[in-house]
Amino acid sequence: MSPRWLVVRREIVERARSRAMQIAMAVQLALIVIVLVIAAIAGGGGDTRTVGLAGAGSQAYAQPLRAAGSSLDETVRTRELPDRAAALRGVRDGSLDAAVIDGREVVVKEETTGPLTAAIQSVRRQLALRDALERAGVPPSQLRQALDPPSLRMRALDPEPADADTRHGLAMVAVILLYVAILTYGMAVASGVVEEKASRVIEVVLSAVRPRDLLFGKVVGIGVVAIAQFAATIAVGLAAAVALDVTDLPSVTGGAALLVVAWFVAGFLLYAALYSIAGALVSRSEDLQSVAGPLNVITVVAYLITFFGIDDPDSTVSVVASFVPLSAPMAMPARWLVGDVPAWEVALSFALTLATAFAFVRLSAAIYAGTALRLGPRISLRRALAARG
Amino acid sequence: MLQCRDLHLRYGSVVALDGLSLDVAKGRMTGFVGPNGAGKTSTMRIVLGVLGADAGEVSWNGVPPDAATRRRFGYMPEERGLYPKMRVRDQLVFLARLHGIEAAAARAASDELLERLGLTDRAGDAVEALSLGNQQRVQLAAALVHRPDLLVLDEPFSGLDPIGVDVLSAVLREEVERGVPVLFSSHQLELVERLCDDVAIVKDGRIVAAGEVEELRRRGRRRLLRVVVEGAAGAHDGSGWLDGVVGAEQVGRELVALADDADPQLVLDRARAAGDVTHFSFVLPSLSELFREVVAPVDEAAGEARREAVAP
Repeated sequence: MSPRWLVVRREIVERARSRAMQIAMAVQLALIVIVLVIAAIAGGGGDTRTVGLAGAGSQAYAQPLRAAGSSLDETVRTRELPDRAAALRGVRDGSLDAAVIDGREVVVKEETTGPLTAAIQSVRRQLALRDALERAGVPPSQLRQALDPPSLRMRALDPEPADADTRHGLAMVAVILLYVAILTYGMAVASGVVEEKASRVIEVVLSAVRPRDLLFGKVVGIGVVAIAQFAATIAVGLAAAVALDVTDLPSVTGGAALLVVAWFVAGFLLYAALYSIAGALVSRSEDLQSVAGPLNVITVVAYLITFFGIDDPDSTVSVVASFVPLSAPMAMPARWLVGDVPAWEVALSFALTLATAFAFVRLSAAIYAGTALRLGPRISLRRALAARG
Repeated sequence: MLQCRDLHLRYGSVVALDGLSLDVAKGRMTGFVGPNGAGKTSTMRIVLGVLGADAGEVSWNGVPPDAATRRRFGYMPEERGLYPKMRVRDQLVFLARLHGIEAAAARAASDELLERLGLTDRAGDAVEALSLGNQQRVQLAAALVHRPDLLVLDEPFSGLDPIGVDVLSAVLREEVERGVPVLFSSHQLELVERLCDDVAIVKDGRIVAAGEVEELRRRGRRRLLRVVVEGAAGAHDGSGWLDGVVGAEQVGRELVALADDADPQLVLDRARAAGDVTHFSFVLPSLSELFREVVAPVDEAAGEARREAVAP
């Protein structure tokens, strides 16, 4: 095994074995599940509405209300109740979302306006119209046609792809996930790079390994652990969300998923390399914060540009951001998902990102080689590079 | 064998090495002594390749060592350091493998070394849980675990108790007998004198004296005899029994300096004639005395200058 991979393996094994890390991970996963459980309880099966029907005058509402559910994007159930008191009780204790009493009164708990009450009002108009037409002696066949005419023919001049919403949502999620991953694990990379210097084991290690190999091994090792942690977090979150019925999984095509994952890894490596420069510049963990500050700013700016560009993928800002290496890992997949980007543009941007990540690792290694044995206050970038010999 | 030739190194305006040359021969233990800041650590770092020299060269068996050769060197840096949270045995195995040893051999070497250093029962503990003395033993193990072809140790004895010193001395002796050249720096000159075959004294970035320890103590000075004669009046004031011996001179109480052509047997005859001889031996200056001689002149001159300034 080459020294690089020995370093990578050490990072992975020691990090996975670390008690602090195991506890942090368990707490994080537990928190996610707790949040989702709370969401599931608070949401209370929000997709199904139950309307209570009391009194003879309400029975006619049952069928049209259930039919109205589809236009509300919800399932509407109806329940027959013996009397007004039962209806009030049901609304008060939350088992009913609304109740219609004797076809004359609607009772809800808090809000009298909303899609459900609007649907009830609309059913009321429909029923009144039917009664009037019946009284006027309109034959049943004409009555049906008047009340339930064939749908209008629809034609969109500039049709959206069927999965536009899904792709838009996926773009948002991809950008947010990468952003969160960078802010969460970027500092882990930086402080990991300081580890050997802070514990002074650096000289022993460097007598066997080139600084470049050590740095490469650390960035990759810490990166792998971070991505694995992040993937576990997402997997647990998704599994819990589906199990608790908090959300539906979007139906994403394999290609889109692959592209998002590839960009995530490339973007993470790029930023890991960037944060490793901060680690290379200092010899004590205490000095890290001041060096890493500017990097956090870069991350936030790249995120904001991308986020506000999602709705307008063809704007100049979005296009430029999707090629500039530091914003490309967020901006390019977002543009690709939302808009219409030729494959060569995606490939070019991806290559640029990887090349930049590689250049950052080299730069970081050069600085590291120059500063590794200067165990003192942080030194300037220029002096670090001048010192490498 | 290791050779350093004409090494130069400066940190900014500070000259750390100023043409330092040094040899470390196979199967010999070489002590590297000199005042703080004289260039010992810089030299060692350059040998190990963790630091680059501005000029000069290092050669190993006649050729400049490449990365693969250097992986076969063992190093104990002055700045002690190990991965604090890593287990002792894992740490040694990892370092051995970095030095190019296969997994199984690395495990075997680690176990053997831990046994030798009495650390077997601590093999599964994190390094930070060990006492400082034991951490130092692990540090030594880290330098030895890949069975290096050359050992370079920076102040390996500092901070060790007498038992630790004995253990370390014995281990270093074994390595030397295995044919490994060992170079270590130390301020404990009696220890260097006792352990080392060769010594190199460094001052201001250059070697001021180097060679076999005994030879160095003898070199460039008159032989010195310590003679104790009971009942001889003249032994103290120099006026008595030594008169007439060519090339012999009383230089202190009980001390007689001999020129190259002087005959020590003649001194003994005269001494016996003068009284009962209870002690008669050659004496060599200790390494400490030698060290002060070669390192201190500047300080002495400065001291004299000060004294003159104070005198009326």
